[in-house]
Amino acid sequence: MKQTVVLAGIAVVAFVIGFVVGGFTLGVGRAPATTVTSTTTITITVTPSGVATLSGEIPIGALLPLSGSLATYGAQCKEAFLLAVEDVNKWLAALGKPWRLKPIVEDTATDPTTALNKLMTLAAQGVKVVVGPMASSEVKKIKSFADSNKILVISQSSTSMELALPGDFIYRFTPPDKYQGIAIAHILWERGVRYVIPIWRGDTWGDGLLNYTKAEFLRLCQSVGGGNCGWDTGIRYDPTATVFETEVATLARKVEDYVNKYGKDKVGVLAISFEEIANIFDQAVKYPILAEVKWEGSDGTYGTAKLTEEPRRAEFAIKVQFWNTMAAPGESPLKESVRQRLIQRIGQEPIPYAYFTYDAVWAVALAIDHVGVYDGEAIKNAVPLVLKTFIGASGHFELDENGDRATTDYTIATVVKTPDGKYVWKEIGGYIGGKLVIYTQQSS
Amino acid sequence: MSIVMLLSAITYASILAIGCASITLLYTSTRVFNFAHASMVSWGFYLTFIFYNLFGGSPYTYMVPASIIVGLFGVLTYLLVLRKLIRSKASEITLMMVTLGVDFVFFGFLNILIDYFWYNYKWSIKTVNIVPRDPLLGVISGAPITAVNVVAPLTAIAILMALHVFLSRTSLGMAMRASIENPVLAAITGINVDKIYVLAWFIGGVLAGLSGSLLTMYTQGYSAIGLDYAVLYFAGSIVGGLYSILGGLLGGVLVGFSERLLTYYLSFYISGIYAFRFAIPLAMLIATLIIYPKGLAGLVERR
Repeated sequence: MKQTVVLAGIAVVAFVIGFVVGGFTLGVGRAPATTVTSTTTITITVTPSGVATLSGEIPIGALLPLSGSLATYGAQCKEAFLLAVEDVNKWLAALGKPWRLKPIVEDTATDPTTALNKLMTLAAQGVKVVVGPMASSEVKKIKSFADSNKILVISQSSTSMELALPGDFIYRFTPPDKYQGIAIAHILWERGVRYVIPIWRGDTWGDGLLNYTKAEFLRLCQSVGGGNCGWDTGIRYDPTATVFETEVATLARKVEDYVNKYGKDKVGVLAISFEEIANIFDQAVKYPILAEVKWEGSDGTYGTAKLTEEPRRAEFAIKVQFWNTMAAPGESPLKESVRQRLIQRIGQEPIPYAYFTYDAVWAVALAIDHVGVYDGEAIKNAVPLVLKTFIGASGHFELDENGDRATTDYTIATVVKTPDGKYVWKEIGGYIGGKLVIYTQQSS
Repeated sequence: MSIVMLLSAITYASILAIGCASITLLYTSTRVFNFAHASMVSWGFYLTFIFYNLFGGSPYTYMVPASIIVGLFGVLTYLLVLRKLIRSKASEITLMMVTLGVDFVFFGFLNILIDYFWYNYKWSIKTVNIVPRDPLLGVISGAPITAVNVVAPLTAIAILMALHVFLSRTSLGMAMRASIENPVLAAITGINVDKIYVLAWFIGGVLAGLSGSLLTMYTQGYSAIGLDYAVLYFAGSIVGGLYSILGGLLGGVLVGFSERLLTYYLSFYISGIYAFRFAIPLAMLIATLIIYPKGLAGLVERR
């Protein structure tokens, strides 16, 4: 029996080591060494040799987190994707074009490995252009496969600076976190927060956004002499975690220390999270001290339904004035029409990433029509040119040298309670042109 | 000491202890280290949620039916897979690996069930979180007491007492002990060992299902929640000694307490400890195997 116990123990140990190593690698791994050929010259390279000309159905893939920690966003972007494909196909029919887009939607479960497997599945079906995935960790995972197979990937929401690389097959229709970090730091400062205790996802996106926010906040702090302000080491959590008892208990202890020293008005919590913010709030409501300070979020938690569907969480979000930023869509005559149709489909106010998804499909369709072939590299080269004269649902925008959206404005939303007792997300302001602008009062 | 953290650790340790008792019972009775435990826990978790979603009311109402169904899974595992192997004197390693296959089967069927509700009823079921709906019973020094903080420890204590009474005061329990200690002699004295094994697998399944059911009110989960906690269940059982049900319960309590509270206190000094919290039960497991393979139960027995 002793031998069996030992063998069983060895089996369990081996299993755990594999599990932990795998999870750790997934969560905190460094970027692969990448040799990047940087060029600012856009060369249209169309390689029609061996490529069929346009006719019939042309597949366009969508890698979306229909489950997992970005499921709320995935559901919205799926509808935006399908709506855009419908609109493109109507436009093609009206012009008498012989080809149509055929949408193929795959669920990545907000998991990098699943995202890669699903991209391989799409590639096997002849897909050369994919909208999504949404998480930076997913984009990072699929980047190598997309580059080597010349599959154009347009992420509507990946913001990690680690992926801001020129010349690859990744475009991002949202600005990178360098700008969001600046925006969040300024918003915190404008809200009167002088001591920040961060709690953040320990992954590509979370680490990057935290570092940019921290750098800008400390710069602001230095600009007033460096005293009476600071940044705590905070709590970096495992991105696969679903239980946050220990993390939140530590957060409460830290917040209590800071409040006792500096007063609750000067202390703030920065939560850089995905939908696991719901689990964090489930624990945070148990600590009264955590409801005494202001909380700040990011695009990872902007508009998440997890906070409005449970009253306990929603009340906490209201009490701590949980403000969240997301890249702001520009002004556009198309926006309202798209907005109304999306609301019909999803039953709520669309997040900016839904508009970016819609525009990604249109940009791809126009690029395909422009180059006349279904080829990943040709489409990739055509998209920046198409965008120069493109006005989408999210307005006019262009891509920077890294293929990322070159805009720096952010919208701010928080949870409010409506007169009929419902909890909804409401846009309350923005960080526009380098200034904090508040549109309305936080609660209605 | 944070009261919230202490309450949480007690709850967590109780839930683990119930699951550890399942592993220990099955190993003690049939010499099977049950790797299907992970999916049995997941089934308990999901059945509770599905019943709650279908019929409403308190999730605790469905602890019993969910656990009984998982108990029947245990019976099926024994009757359809293990009985023949045990009779043909299959090695303990073979039996253990077979349960790994059973685990995959259970896991597959669970995902089919989840997909059924996901696609046909549009339930938000891939990730389940009904923790905020756990009723608030009161507040102690600012710390809220929810129902699971009370139900889980009471359930663990009730199981401990029930198993003790069953094994030491009832003829069926004594027959089970006899079958465990010497199945050949037990059979000669007229005890139907096969029925005893069926009973053991039913109770083992019920305990695994009950542990999963309580997790529904304690944490967010998905289809592999049992797998996520499997390490802790097995660590608790091995730390407990693997051949004493009482030891299994104690091992689960110790592992649960140490994982939560040690991680909390270590976080004062090591900021990135959270990602490595599983190292604590794992270290306990390794230490137990190296220093004293008989575990906690062995220590109690020696005294």
